[in-house]
Amino acid sequence: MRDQNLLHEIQPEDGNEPLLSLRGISKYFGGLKAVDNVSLTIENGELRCLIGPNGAGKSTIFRLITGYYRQDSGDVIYKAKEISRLQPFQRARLGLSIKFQTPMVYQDLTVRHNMWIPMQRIYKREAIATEIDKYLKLLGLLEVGEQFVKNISHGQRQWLEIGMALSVKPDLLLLDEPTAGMSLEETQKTAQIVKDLNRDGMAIIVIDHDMEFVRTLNSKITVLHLGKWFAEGNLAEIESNEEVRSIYLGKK
Amino acid sequence: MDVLAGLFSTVYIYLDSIAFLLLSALGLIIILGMMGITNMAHGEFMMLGAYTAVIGTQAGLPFPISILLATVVVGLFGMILERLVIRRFYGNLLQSLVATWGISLLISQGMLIALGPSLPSLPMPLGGFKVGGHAYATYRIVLALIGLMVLLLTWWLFNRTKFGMRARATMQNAEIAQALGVDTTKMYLIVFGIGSALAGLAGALYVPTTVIGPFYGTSFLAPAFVTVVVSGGADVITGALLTSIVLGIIEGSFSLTWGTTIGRLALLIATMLIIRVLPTGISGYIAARGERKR
Amino acid sequence: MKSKNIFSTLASRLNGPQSIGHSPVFWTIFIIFIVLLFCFPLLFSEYEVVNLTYFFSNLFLAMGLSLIWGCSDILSFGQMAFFGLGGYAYGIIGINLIGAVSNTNLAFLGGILIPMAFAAILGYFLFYGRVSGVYVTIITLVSTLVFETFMAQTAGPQWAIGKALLGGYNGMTNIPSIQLQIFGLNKIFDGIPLYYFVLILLIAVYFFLRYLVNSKYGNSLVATGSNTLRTEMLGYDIRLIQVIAFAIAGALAGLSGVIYVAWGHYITPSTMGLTTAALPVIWVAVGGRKSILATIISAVVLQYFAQYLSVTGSEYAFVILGALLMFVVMYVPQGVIPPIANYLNKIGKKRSVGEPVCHEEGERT
Repeated sequence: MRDQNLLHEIQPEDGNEPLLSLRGISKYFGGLKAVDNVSLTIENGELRCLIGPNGAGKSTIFRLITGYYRQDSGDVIYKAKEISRLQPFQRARLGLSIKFQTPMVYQDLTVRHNMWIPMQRIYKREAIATEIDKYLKLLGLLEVGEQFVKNISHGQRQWLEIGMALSVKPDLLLLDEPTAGMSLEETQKTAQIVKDLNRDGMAIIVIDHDMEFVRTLNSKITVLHLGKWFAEGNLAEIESNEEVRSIYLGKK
Repeated sequence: MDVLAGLFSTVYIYLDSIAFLLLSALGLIIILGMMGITNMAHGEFMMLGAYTAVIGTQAGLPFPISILLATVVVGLFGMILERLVIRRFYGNLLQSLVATWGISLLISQGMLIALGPSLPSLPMPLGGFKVGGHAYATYRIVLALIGLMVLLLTWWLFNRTKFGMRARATMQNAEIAQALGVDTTKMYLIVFGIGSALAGLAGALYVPTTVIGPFYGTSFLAPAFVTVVVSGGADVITGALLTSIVLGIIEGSFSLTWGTTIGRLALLIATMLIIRVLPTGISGYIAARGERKR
Repeated sequence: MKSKNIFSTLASRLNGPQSIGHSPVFWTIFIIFIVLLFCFPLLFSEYEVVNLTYFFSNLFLAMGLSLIWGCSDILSFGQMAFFGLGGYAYGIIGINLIGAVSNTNLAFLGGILIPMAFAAILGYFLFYGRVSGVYVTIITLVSTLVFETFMAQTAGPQWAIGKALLGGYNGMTNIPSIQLQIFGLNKIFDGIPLYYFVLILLIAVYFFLRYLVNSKYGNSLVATGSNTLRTEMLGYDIRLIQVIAFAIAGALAGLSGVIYVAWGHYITPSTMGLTTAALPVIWVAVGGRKSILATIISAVVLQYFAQYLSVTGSEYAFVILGALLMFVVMYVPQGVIPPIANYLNKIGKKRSVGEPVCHEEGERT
């Protein structure tokens, strides 16, 4: 399984560039190796799940991709460009979008106003209201459109944030624990949204601890452990992998 | 001999600047680092310490005793304030700043009304000495030594006592500390008291160097806050020490050549440059070796 | 949609993204007030007019603070520094040029642009350095104090720029009135003409800010203040957004400074002291920082209040203001006026409150 990591070192020859390529990324915090020589490749339109026990470095990887952290070594290549020097907002303008682990939405604004913010960069003023309606309908938030975000439920906030992350029409969407705190019904709905988006061509990387959710997505899975790349494969391969099961000892 | 005299003069100025920054800022740094409170009334605490020292000395107490009295009085005052007002603002740096700003207005203006625009100043004790033709005040050397002692005492308190361990635990993660049995409410009360006491101490110590009035604390405010900003909130003791040294040398160097105002200006510019390079301050930079919290 | 008249376009630009329209009641009351203000000199003595002009001069400063503190959550104690810079700049340029060109056009411009430039530079250091929150506040405070200290020791005769003596603690005197020369027309603004000049400027700036805050930029500013990280990851350059707001606030503070020195012909470093620096913060906090209109009302009322106190011999002006600040921060952090406005709203059963500015105020709270 470890050898598969080396395959990422080889660039595809046919000119079909991967969308995102992390090559030998490492990030240290003092003596702690949060991310240790991880390589990862995401193709255009691919759906990938990133799993691993707590502390595996998954969220850190997201932060390295978005530019919140700068890696200590290795390259971050996005759309064939090395983006390590770019500020987070510049990366966002290249089609990168993220839904954070804890919902980062505008607490003191209404749901509609929240959606307005990403949309005003994309749409003309007259068109925004209609577009907002479309998204709110998709996310089931139409009824709470005029509510202040601090008054809506946690699950609704998650969807709002997903909606905001989507509205910029990203090429690569990062979802950090989108189902945290959601009920079973909400989780299933989220899975459906993710699959629909991916079917329409959006590349998505999902971090989640909910194995049922991951199963439903049925995508290629990358497993991280203690900051290192641990395993990679499709759902069946990962589920039958003894080593993967052992690192999850005690977990679901 | 001249070189040594020049060296002594430089060292003297540096020590003076470093001690000034350290003593002014230590209380503030502790409160900020521990409780996430920006205490704009810090200058007023120093003023209260100065007033207590002056009144005590005029009442017949020996100056050192007045200083101790000032420390205790302001410490208690701080604890009362904490109970009544401050506790609402834990972790909210901005709100606490504005609220304590209001308190500072109340105290300074109130003092102006109560005791008038000034108090008699005290002469500088311990006289002076000469090195290489220049006169120096012994007291300022004493202040530097006291500054060092206070820092060591604070270090000992926070790193070598059970109390200090509990305090640092609360600083790192109040929830966990509470779960482990630390009475965090009492801890905040005591630590705020310590921070206030240190401010009172500094205020009292510097009484012989300047005029005494309701706005006594103002001249300490900018240097103290600058030290706090550059130090960052992460590591109180090391941060305070290193920052005082760095900024003290900068201010001292500029004051030596161009006077105190330019020294202050240099302090401000240095602060902005350092913050640009090390946004989490000096102690944040050091603490980044240990663990990173964003 | 084609027959959109100018009023509806104007209205849509002056209102928040989802506000349905402003209550006509609000606009009616607004217009009545404007008319009353225009009639003020007819109803009151020249002394009162001059007094009100002074109070008005501080409003630009307060509006600027409301912009950066209310909208983007940056508490800056630096407004008084830019006020001072604007005043001194106008004074220096004005004193030097008035003899030669018989107008203060350049001085007026300088008094606004120079503080704006300094604000932009300071803003660059702060926001491109990704300094945030309380550290911004502290650094702006320290900047103001250092500037005051610096100006305070400019007492000697060597401290002069051209004909303008800086004057140290005693300040700069003989600052000329605003004298504008446009298209051959040359007019000195003093007394009542100055009042109208300032009033018109005030109205213009108010509408400009209202437009700005409801524009695309304004929304991005509000978003930045509400959640910086989220806004950045939606593709906004938050550093630039904040610097722009900071620079505009600085320009407004400079404008206040210009009017102040043109009104009083005199400026000292004490306008940049610790206590004075607190005043704009108090006005904005007590009024309600998210609303420019609330800030304006609060600033005027509190200035009258403080003046009344000192005139009747009370030394308690600052004590009361300090207590007021604390009360507001502890119990009514959103300010005194928004709850009143909400209450009036409920009584009138109108859809929207008088002022959307930075967010729809509590329709559903």
